[in-house]
Amino acid sequence: MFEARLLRSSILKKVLEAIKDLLTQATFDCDDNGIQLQAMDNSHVSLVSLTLRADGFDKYRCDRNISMGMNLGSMSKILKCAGDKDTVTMKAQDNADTVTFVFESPNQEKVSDYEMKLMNLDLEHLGIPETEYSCTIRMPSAEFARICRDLSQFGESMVISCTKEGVKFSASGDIGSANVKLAQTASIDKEEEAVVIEMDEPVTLTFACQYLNYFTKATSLSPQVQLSMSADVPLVVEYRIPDIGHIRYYLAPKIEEDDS
Amino acid sequence: MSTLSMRAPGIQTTVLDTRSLHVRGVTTIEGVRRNLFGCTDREENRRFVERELARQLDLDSQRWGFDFATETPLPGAQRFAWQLVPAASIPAALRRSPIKITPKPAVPKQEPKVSSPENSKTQKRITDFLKPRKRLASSGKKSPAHKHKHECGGAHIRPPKVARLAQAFKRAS
Repeated sequence: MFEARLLRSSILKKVLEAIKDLLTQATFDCDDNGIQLQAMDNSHVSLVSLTLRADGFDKYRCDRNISMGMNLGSMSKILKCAGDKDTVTMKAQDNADTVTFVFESPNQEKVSDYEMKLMNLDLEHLGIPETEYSCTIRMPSAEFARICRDLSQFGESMVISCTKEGVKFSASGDIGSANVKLAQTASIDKEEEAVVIEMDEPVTLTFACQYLNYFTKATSLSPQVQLSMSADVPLVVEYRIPDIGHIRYYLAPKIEEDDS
Repeated sequence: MSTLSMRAPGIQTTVLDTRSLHVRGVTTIEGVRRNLFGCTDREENRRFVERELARQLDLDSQRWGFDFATETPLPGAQRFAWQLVPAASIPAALRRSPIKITPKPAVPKQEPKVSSPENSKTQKRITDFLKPRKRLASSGKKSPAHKHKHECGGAHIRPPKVARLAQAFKRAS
């Protein structure tokens, strides 16, 4: 028996919004520690890794490890049926081929349940090595979303360049070029609005704007976003979901190809 | 013997007058066929085909910037830059057989043209950096947790796949 209950369905709704455009289907791996999801997008350029810890749920029970393959489009449709203030409970039997979502209104006057068929997905899992990154940038998530949106008008790719002066986002294309520079915040009054850069070595990498724009669908989950970069490895874009976990996006860079 | 009778299976007997055959230019009768559309000029047909093939070859040459007759790129600025590649690097299905490799020093080594600087970078895949590993449970639907002792028969002791993942994530965070 698996059962996980969240007082606010809005968290789960936002999580689905954050992944459903990038992934069509994914496996939710549930165990004693909580729920994990790892999946690549169809083109295998990016990877989503979601963690929802058991202690972040109001009630969490997982008798046996269970992996539930879900169509994220269908799951998103179901979660749209829940009100933001509704309580949501996910339930599945040990050998079930369905999962049930129960939504309860705050005053318990309305209870709805939705049963969804599970899928048997045979997806590849990637081992994510422990990596020390040359640069980590923490910044307001809304600011990052804005930059990605603005620069994607100029070109398909965005160059992120991190030096000790600050971080520079640039793009160029047919209409011209765009540069956005952010300096480290001098005084941190509000932690949520701060730009904090930790740098061992300067890094410059190029990424596809399209994927970054998919990642920023998670903006509503967290006021801050953390970007981690090292030369020639995937970028990590991390949103911490308060009190329950995080969602991390890994994006392979665009690299100059030697034709020799 | 003033008439010739031809009989073919299934066909009505036709009677032809030798005189009328003479009129039509038939002198010796070896075989007779109906000639509905007049005589063909084989020479003219051959010229027509050759003309069409040459025209097509010329069109292709202009289109690809490559002289297919001599197997050399056309001089001047072209849409495509041609490069000589060794036959070994081409899938067998695409090779002409038997393969005759004749070195063509006339072909200039040119780098492929690039339309915009963005295209010079290649989008890498996430799998170029992170190694895939197979999910441990084949069914993907249930996996016995060894933490629950009451569940544990000997056959059930398998490493729980999710727990290992969780450890990896804890280390990474």
